[in-house]
Amino acid sequence: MTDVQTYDWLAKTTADGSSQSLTIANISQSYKCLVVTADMETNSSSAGISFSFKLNGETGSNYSYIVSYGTSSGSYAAGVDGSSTGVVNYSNGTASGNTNTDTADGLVWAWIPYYAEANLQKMIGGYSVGAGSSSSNLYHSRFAVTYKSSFAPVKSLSWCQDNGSNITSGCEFNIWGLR
Amino acid sequence: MTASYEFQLVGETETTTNGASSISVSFTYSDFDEFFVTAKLRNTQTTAGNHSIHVGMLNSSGSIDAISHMYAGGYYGGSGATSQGNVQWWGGTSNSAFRPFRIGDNNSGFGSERWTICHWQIAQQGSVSGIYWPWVGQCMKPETDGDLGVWGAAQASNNTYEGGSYNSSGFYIQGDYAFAAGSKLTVWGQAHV
Repeated sequence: MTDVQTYDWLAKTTADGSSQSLTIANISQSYKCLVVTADMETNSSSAGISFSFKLNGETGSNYSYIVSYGTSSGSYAAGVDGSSTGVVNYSNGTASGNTNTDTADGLVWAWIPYYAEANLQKMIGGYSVGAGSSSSNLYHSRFAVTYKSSFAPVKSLSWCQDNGSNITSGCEFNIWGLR
Repeated sequence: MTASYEFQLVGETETTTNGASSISVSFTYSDFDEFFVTAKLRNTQTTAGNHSIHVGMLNSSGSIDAISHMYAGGYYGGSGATSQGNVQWWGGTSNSAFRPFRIGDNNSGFGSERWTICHWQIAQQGSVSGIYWPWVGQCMKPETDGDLGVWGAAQASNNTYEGGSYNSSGFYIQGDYAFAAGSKLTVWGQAHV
């Protein structure tokens, strides 16, 4: 079997600890589907920490998302239709949802099928898992996100912290393409 | 040790008319160890109703696999199809197919102009008896105003494929009504070599 180059690593940006978002722009339009991974860690000890995606830099209150999530305390679901961010996780009030300790971090895995097609409302689906400062703070989410008023190809994707804290230095944001 | 694997596009089927109520991609399961599957779907039926998408294994007759072999289930929810954010269980051992989600209200009618997008990852389970095929992923469907209407994630299973009584294999999607032109199913395969 020859190397057919259908699953390619396209880009990575790494947090330096001074920003609340990471952006990958000028995304190649030569693939059918994007796969996205990103690290979740901040220096915040606040409850209810969340991370989100932004499509093409859109900041209007047009994100619609549905998240089901669970912690050691139970399982929950939420849906919002007029958000300025496309939320992918909740730590559900755990006191140490995302802290800057070595054991308090998380990961999101997402996909954007047919991201380069015109006239198609783009949607992001995926999963995330996060660990707080103790095992009782472990939480996970399954999510769907869309920016409902845009049908444009995805040329820029941002990974954002929603609660005013910087993304911890060293956190990676990666994109792969499926040709 | 350096990893060695191959990942390739197995096939893509796209409808060119408004008349097809099923879409399939045929291939040999054993050529790969894992699959990535995506679908873009829109139905020609625009009235409200309890519409479903059915997905499953392609059998030798060119249709979805029989009831006796399918164990299907999953969770689905939505802000329009059910109460907001509600997630409900759907499934059982007597379904004719794996239904990624169901739609049952006016706003989230499957035939609205917005496309449904699906993605699954599926592990190759071969013909080992008692080992089922997991489908992990979800479908996402906007309502007519663009709000996410329904979504679904599920795990479908099907026993003893490859080497069984079937002489063809692949993945199959069926709608309650015909799919609109441009609906498609894309399959990638990964082989560990």
